[in-house]
Amino acid sequence: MLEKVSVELAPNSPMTQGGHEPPIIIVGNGPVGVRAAQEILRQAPRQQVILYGKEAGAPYNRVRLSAWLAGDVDWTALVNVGDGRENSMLIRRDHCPVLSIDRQNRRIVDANGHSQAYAKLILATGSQAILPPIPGITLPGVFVFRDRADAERLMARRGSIHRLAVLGGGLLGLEAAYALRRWGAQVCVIERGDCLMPRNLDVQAAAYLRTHVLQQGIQVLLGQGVAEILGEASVQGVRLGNGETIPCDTLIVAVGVKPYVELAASAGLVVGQGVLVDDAMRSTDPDIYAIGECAEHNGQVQGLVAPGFEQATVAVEQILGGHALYQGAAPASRLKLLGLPVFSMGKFNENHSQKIIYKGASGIYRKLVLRQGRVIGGIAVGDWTGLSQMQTAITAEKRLGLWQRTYFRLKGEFSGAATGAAPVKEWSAQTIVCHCTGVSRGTLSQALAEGCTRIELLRQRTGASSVCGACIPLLNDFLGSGENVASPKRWALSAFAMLTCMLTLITFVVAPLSYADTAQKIWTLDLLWSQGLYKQISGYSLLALALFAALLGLRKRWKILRIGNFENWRNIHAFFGVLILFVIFVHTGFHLGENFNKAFMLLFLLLLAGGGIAGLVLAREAMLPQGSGALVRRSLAYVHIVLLWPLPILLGFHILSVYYF
Amino acid sequence: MRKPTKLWLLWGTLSVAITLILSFALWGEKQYWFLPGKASHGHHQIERECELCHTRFGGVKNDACQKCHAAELKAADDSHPEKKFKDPRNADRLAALDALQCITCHQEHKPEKIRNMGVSLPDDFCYRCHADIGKERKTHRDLDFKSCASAGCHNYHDNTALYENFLGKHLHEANLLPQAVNLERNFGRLYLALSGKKPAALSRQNADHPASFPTDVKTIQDWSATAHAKQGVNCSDCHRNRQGTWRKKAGYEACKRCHDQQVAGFLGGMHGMRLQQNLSPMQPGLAQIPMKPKAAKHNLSCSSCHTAHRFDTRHAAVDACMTCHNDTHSRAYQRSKHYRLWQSELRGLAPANTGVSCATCHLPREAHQAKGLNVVQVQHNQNANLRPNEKMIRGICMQCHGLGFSLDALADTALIKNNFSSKPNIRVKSLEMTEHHLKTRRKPRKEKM
Repeated sequence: MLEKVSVELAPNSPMTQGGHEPPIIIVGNGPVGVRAAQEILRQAPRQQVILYGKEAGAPYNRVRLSAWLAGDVDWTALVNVGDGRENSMLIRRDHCPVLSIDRQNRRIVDANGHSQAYAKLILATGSQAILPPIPGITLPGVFVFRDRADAERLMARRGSIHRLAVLGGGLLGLEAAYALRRWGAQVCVIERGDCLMPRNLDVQAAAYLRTHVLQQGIQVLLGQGVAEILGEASVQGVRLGNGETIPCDTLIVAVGVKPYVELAASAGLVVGQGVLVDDAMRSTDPDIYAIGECAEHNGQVQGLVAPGFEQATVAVEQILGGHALYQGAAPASRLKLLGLPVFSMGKFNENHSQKIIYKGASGIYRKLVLRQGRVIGGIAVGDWTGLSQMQTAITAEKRLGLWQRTYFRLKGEFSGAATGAAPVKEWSAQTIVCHCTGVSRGTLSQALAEGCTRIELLRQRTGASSVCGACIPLLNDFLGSGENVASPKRWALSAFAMLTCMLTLITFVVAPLSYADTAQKIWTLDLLWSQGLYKQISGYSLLALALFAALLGLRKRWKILRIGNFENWRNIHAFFGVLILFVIFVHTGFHLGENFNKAFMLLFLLLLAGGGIAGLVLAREAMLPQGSGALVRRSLAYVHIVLLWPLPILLGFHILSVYYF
Repeated sequence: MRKPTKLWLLWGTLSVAITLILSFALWGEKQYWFLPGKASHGHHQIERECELCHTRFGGVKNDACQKCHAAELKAADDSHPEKKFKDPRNADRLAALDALQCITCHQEHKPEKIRNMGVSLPDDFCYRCHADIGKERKTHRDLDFKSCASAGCHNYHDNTALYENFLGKHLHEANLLPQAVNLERNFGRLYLALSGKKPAALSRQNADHPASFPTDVKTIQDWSATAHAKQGVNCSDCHRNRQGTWRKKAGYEACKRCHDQQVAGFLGGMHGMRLQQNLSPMQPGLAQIPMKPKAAKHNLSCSSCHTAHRFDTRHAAVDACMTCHNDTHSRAYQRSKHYRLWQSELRGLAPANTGVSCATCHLPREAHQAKGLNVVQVQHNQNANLRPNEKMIRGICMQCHGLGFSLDALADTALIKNNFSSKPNIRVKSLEMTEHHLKTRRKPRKEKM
């Protein structure tokens, strides 16, 4: 059906003629170009869009090309266009490269010689593989691995490859090596640098990756360049810089890509590494935008799909009159290399920053890079459910406290280990659910509210899960739960707990109240904390209050007491804490005693302070890092109980000693 | 076993352990764990011996106080004795202030509350019963109740030098009396008469220390020069205990055999009260007033001041004090007139008993009758005439000084600090008031006649 549509629309369309506003033209139908088209049609469904593509066939998802080459998925899984709903306003011109741009008249000329006017032009021309000038590079048997045609060529040859050499230990090289290893080839990856994927990983993480790659039966040579490609009729081997010879019948060159900028350059746009763009993704011509791998923003060319998508969104918003700006996000790469999840983001290779490294069992490696206590980058190798948190932390440059840093160092998790297990609907609104498309939980909730109740609808609406599909379980989890419960605000508990903490502090800080200076009055205030009768009244009141407060703990353990609402019980418990402190003031006049009495008093005050802090934490649970509430609550309750343990006996002896002496 | 069960068991075990430990403390040696606060200057030396004062489940009874303080109160002719308040006519006063209980005024373990004389009531407590004093005595009309007991006028218990008739008898005395001389000690001379023994004087050859305890020549020489040798007190009289075993160091029990009055004073005062209660000896380091750091670890006994075997009372009277005491009053002594008199007496430039040493005032000589003899002995309880300091006036100051001067001097705290090196700057009005009162009281009598 898709093919049919393109056939129908491929000829000169009359819809672009006449008095209509010219359409928006997108040059390049890779994932980023397609995303830009989808985004336009989503935001302005009546806007005419023409999508030019150089390659034959419908647009496809380049990211999963290696999965196809490995035989994991069939081609339909890569097809990358939406359903028929968009088609009336989207004209696809596949296999139709654009040859030139006439900026004066705002027209382009395509390979068919057809001239097409545009209102706005988006360049998403991507990049092409670099072929280094090595002797023998033109020999048959030398391949690159970049587009569908490359993949098809390798696919055709896959059964007959016995010895494969891959030049370049980057993402594409490793993916190609892995895909063809699946077909039985002996594979050797040759990387000039000291480690695999030097752009995306630090040395240690790369070492983990290398171990993993070796386990797949792929040989790895590091620090070696290829001096010459050997062979006469076809490739027979490569000679390394050190003179060693590696025999091979096929060589894949994956040493990097360079942005495809020839079209832009010939149109007179300013071009550096890529097409220079500002924060609005606009090139030096205000009507021409550049996004994806061909765009150079702030001196940076992004090689991964996620930032490309973000750029697409920004460019479209700008074109449609919005004000979105591209911030040059900390580049995040979340890759599944040969089945090994590898994540890196931000300034993970900064040497002069604090690093927190966690090494778990079986190839787990996690690293956080901090500057002045703020997370500025990170790496994670191996499966991890806490990736979203890491990404959120780096994006927000979150500050990590001493406890959180220690926790990460020891556990490899952000404090609150339950994070991964916490339902998606309870994640904070900014937390990213789909990392490929950068869709946050908040965006998903909004889409859900607008009626997207199935994964497909969510995917159409937000793009989530449209790329790698790794987030589908999370989306299922998200949809399975339905409504979003707001965490309760415990104002009463909060107030009582705050009072308890403050009053406890006051007890320590305030100097003991002095005794009356005159005997001429029969009743003075100091009698409260110096006269036996009053002290007994306040003392036994304290005993009674403490017993009532202890009922909360007994309620948890005795079923008989489970009447009424637990929250109310807890509020009353907290209120008793405040009351107890006031009675303590009356009982002691801030004289904290000596020896046994002092020990007893301090323990009691610590118990109260502990309870106050626990109350504060409970009341403000929603503000804690994802899922850490339970852990913090448990440890505070534990402290509270440990402090409580000796108190009944000490209290008994305190009372006994008063009458004993 | 389930985890909660384990925890409950642990809690139970710990609870039983704590209970046992605290019970043993409460019923045993560690009662002081429960000490609720420091005791006052008078009791801090014995504050860890709770049951000296506290009765189990009975609080602090008057009997406990009387054990140590009864004799003192009797000697001072207590102005507010129990019997006064047991009189039904004074029931309203008793309601205002429970004067039958010592602890009504003398609460302990509340250092913030304790004032002079170990009183825990505010200084104006006299108001409770004597609020109308201004009406009764015109001279008292505008006086602050806080000044009753603080200006050399009244004390609650001891008014031996302050009562009206006494004041009336000593109205216009000179600062320095014409016969300014201390009593002459005569205990040594009268000892044989008092004890009924008639031993011969001993010399060096008579020293009866056993061969297994040889000693040096100096010790023997020192002893032979003392009154001990002259009165027939041999080595074994002190060094052999009642069971007959030889002891290298003779304790206060040995001294007590002859000097029981002196030892009783020592044990009753600040130097010996810990020994009295079978505690380790007092050490200057435990004191609340400034002491010389070097002396901090000295164990106090008789021989701390009366160094064996010379027993030189002149050394004991000043130099011994100075080895430990380091407060301003003590340090100022050697710049005082009293010290100059003491120096003159030591050098033989002045008649005997005209010098004023530390002991002259703080360990004074007291005369009393024994077996029909007038015996003058030293009171070794320095507290017997120190707090309140008006106690010192009648028996000590007035040996040399007039009453008015003595009152003024002891009310002047600056003067006490510089050890009476200048003239009093305070004028206690008691004498004028007494004179005025006596005059106005006599007039109506005359009219009646």
